[in-house]
Amino acid sequence: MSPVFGHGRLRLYLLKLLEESPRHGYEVIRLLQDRFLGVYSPSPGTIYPRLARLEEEGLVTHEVVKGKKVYRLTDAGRAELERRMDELAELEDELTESVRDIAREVQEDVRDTVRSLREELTHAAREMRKQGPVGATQNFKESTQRQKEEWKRQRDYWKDQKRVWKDEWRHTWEDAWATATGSQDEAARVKLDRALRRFVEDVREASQAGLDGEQLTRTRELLDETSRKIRSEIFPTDD
Amino acid sequence: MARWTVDEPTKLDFDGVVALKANIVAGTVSVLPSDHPTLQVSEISGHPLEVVHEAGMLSLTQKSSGVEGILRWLQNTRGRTAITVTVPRDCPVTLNLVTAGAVVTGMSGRVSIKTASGDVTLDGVTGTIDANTATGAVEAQGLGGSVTFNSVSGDLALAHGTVDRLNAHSVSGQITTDVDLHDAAGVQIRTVSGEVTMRLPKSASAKVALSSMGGRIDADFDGLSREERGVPKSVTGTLGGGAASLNINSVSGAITLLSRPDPEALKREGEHDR
Repeated sequence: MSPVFGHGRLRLYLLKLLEESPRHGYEVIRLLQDRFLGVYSPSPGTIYPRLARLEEEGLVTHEVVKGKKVYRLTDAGRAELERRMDELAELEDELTESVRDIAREVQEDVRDTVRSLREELTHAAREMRKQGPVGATQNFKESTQRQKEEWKRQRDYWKDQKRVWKDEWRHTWEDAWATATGSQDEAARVKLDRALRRFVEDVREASQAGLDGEQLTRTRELLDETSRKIRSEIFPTDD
Repeated sequence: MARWTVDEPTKLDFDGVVALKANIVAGTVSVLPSDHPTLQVSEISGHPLEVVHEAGMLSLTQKSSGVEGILRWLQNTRGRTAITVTVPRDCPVTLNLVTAGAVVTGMSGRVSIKTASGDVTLDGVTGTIDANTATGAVEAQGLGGSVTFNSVSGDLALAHGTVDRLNAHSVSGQITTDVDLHDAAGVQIRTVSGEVTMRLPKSASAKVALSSMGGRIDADFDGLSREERGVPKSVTGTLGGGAASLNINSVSGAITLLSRPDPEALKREGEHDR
């Protein structure tokens, strides 16, 4: 599935895993899975033949413990690993780098799966409707009491839901602000800024219908007065 | 406590991470399971990333400087952070994102993700998932736990896997699922105009109630009875022994319940969840 292992590298990595400790085949598979974050899951059909090959080459040997083959590195295997130490270090580096690629692959994989699922289900739904015993439904426009109640129930439900969402998002933003600014003081400043922006929007909206010179002058006066008041009453300076 | 300020691509290793929290605005965050906790920052622009590792808690925050910084930060669409974090499988994960997307694989603890417009990809997550988005989509395969999804217009798609509990609420987002239900699983889906398409194995065991005010309802199962007259229209009944419960409710979105003939074949593919 994953191109993480180039030519001969899986072999090298198997030697490395067996150098750490004697292991049986399933343990090797499990370790590979863990190393590749579950994305690369070699099958026994990949690993066992390779272990057998390594044994033929005299790099590993096995003994049977409780009915399972436990593989261990031979001296020749150790020498081979020693000889290819540089390559192994390089491989380790690349594996670390590949974590990022794995994430990307996972994303693409899931996207593909979801896309084909959507297509498949759309197709299945169309087929079902075509031959379905439970065909299309008709829209009855009855104005019964029950219908009205149902509409009301739905509306109330979604009204509640909207409120929940609003709160939820406010919390998220406040968290984000608080963490981003790092202090209470700065969080307060952001809120102040938000209040000011809201004020500007409100005034702008109120003037939407039309704005003449007199209204502008009066607005200016009020703004100046308000600004003066805020400065003197809320943020008095020493001078 | 250890603290780093990261403003260029780098890699950090940590000893003992028990929880992960990330607050990221734009870019991508990937979380993968591993017994060796690491952080890779492969791309960073805009503000530096503040990394704090304290008492096992790893927190990553795109830090901003002062008010002005924040305003710029909120408008800043060019600032991007791409990070990949590996943490132990059972580590709870909290991601608060704005336009950033997230990829999470293989985690078995609680996974909580909030994003406004980022897309969320989940693979083989067996823990409790809580995803909130405004317009971001959630796409997942091989899930094994419980899922809560809230979105305004984001789509939810679940492929394969088995869920204990699924709560999905959306206004106009489409909900598409192809999962098995555990015994006693509870599924609650509500949408306004979002279409709901759900496929269950032919042998599913569940009490089913599908209802819609104006949307069409189709169900590919015998033994469900249909109430066509009046509003809401509904399709209800019991499949098999009725172990799980399935409630789908929409205002105008269509509801389609499909059956999957060969559960064995899909089970093999669903081996993702361990």
